[in-house]
Amino acid sequence: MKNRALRARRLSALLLPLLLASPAAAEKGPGVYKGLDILCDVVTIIQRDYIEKLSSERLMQDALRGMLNSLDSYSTYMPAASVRGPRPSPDKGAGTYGLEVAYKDKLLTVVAPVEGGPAWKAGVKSGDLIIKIDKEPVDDRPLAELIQLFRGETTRRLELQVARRGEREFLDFTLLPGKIEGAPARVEMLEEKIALMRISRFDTETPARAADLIAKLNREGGDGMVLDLRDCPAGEIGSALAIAEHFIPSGGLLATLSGRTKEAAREFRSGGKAPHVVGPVVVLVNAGTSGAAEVIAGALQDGGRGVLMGQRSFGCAFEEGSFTLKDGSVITMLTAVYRTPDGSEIQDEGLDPDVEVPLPAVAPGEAGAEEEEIALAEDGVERDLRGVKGVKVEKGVKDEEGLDPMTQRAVDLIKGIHILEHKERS
Amino acid sequence: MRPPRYAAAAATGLAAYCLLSAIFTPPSPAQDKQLKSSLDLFVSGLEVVARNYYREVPERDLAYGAIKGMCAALDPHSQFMDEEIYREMKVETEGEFGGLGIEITIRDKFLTVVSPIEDTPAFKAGLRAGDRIVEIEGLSTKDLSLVEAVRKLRGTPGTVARITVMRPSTGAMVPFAITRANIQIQSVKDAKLVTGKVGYVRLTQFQERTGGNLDKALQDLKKRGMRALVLDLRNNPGGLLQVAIEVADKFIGGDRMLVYTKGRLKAQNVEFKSHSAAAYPDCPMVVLVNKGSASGSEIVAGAIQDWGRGIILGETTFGKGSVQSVLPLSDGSALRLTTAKYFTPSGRCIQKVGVKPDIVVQMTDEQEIKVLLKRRLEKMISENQQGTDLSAEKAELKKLGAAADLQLDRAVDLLQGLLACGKSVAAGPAPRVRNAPR
Repeated sequence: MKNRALRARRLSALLLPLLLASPAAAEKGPGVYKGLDILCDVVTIIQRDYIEKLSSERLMQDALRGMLNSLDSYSTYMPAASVRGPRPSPDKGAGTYGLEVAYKDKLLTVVAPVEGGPAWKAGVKSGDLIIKIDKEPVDDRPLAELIQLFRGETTRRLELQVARRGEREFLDFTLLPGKIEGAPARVEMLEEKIALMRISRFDTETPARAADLIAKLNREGGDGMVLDLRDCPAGEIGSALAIAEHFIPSGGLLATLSGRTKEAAREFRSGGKAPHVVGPVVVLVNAGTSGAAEVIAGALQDGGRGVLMGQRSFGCAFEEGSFTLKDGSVITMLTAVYRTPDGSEIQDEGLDPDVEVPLPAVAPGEAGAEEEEIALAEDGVERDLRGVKGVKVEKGVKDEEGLDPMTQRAVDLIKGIHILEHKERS
Repeated sequence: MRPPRYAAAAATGLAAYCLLSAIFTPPSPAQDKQLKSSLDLFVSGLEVVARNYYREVPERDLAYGAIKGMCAALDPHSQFMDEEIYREMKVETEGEFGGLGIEITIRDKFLTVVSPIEDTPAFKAGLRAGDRIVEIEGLSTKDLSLVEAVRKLRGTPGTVARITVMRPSTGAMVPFAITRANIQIQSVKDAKLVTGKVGYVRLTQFQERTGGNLDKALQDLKKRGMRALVLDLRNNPGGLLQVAIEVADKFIGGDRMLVYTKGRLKAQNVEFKSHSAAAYPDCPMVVLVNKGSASGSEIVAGAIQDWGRGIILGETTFGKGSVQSVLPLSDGSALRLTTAKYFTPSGRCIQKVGVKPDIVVQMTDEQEIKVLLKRRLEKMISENQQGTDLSAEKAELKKLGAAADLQLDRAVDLLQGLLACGKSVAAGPAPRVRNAPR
């Protein structure tokens, strides 16, 4: 015992000069990095007593991975051996799966499939828990590898097994990478000049498209808008900020970005871009609303420009940075997070809707049957529902009512606001 | 050793011997250099995080995260315990605790029920060996260490634990709400004569009083005419190493090796031998095992099998054959580390492989449930206080009919046959590896 303590102290002594040499340590003075002596102790004990002999190199890789994983579910450590060179330019015919995944409560969860993409067509849904990828349990795969798997262009076919609330058995999907089909934004005039604007993804072309659509609505005398951001997982935050400028008057705060250092902090304000959206706005959100969509929803909510309706959003809006260590291994982590104008952190928290609409209770075996049909009626795009158990869909059947319950409630709310404002309706 | 359940680890004495025996060997300069450069890399990573992560994280948390990461990559039974968890572990091993009554382990990365302990809330609620606990109080158990899971499951008697269980045989997700109770375990059960000459004793685990109670039960059965024994170790998750050895000793004797441990350090290599005289050296015996037999059960079964002292019947056992030591650290936290593995007398490693029965008799989950249910109902009826209406239970029992315990029935048949032809069944001259059955 005594000897071990001595040894640990000796190791700490080895480290001390190194620490003092670093600027961070110098800033903070002695006593930095509490717990390092315990770490040294543990390494020594494991190397001496553990049933297998382990190299200090491997132990330190596990330590770095453990440290990054303990921060949040996005930050990762990739040992030099698994760091790949720049991604080769995609093969001809390569595409994406159109699937956003993240760890939620430590389970690999589908944030949402991107509307019009392969995963969406196959019937993958927001909230599905991914159990197996290519028949391998997800647990066995490092997070960094999983992220690479879902990102970027590829030609690789992917088999997923998912668990879905309300389903007694796991569901299997085979995804072939492809294009995301359909426009990222579209509008439809509902009743009484109230418009429905659906944004399914925020990419580079979305702002221009949205501006055209808003102009069109204004020409048609639009007054009031339901902005549907449900199951909108993908995209560039810059794109969402640009669109928010059509809603928020010039000078209004849209979002802030904050990090560890002052340099990382940023503020985004509206330039009050024309055309301006006219009338009351209700924003529809759910657990598949994530990232860019949350930033614009937060801007509208805190800016008093829109009422949020639906379910709590996913909670994911950050900037990440990659840092290469001297052995070539890479640390990727959150370096800054977005906040709404009122200063609430979106990350992990999500946005609380002003009007909470609980999800309908789903009886086992009937998961989402109703929602599925509505989705068909709403977008008119045929989905491939083969392999989805318990869901019966007749081709081309339109919902009698035309609108799903949440959109209907949003329209009701806008009508109510109109009445209270004593608007004359034609 | 009762490794699937960590709380008993400190009580085993094994932890203590490993601690005392840890020999300090000065590292070579080359090792030191390698260690220094690895630590160097770690510190540079630590600095990157401390400077660039979006919020400030206490350095102690970073170091603990790193230590947990290191330990998590070792094996399911090794773990880092922070001060609070370590303190709780010590308290729990000393006193009684409220719990559900399950032995759990991490298998294939899932929190897995090794076996429900009889007469406990978990047993009564219908939890089964192999069930995967996927949620505790609505939160996923993924990445939960064994210690943390045990801590969440334990609590004041009378409080309710809500868990969701995935049953691999059916794939069904089943929610349970189980009221915690004081877990006191009677380890020697159902001692009886199955036929005129064949006795039966079930050990639910190896605890302090198991050896003495087993003696009492066997003496009594002997007086009543027992000439052969079925020792039922099914769903016995283990317990104290010394007690498992004591049990094996009763049947083997003759200064024979019962089990040995082997680690990297010489001090972790320990041989455990039987006394010269065995209490029951020659009564023919069959040991019943199944996938819920772990650790101590595997040691007993392995020793009896290797010495040819009895016949092992049932299913391949769990495969828990590692020794953990608890090593306190200077800041009040502690490390629970796998430091050695168990080997049967013939040198078979138990870890992951388990003990293969000489005679394989599989029982389906359904059959096992019926046997357990029948046993429970019979117990309720036999212990019936006057005035309680048990007609429903009686009707249910009748409906179950002859829920056959296939494994027990085959064991009894076998022993009756052995008695009839008068085979010698004392331990053999040398341990040997029996051919694994096809």
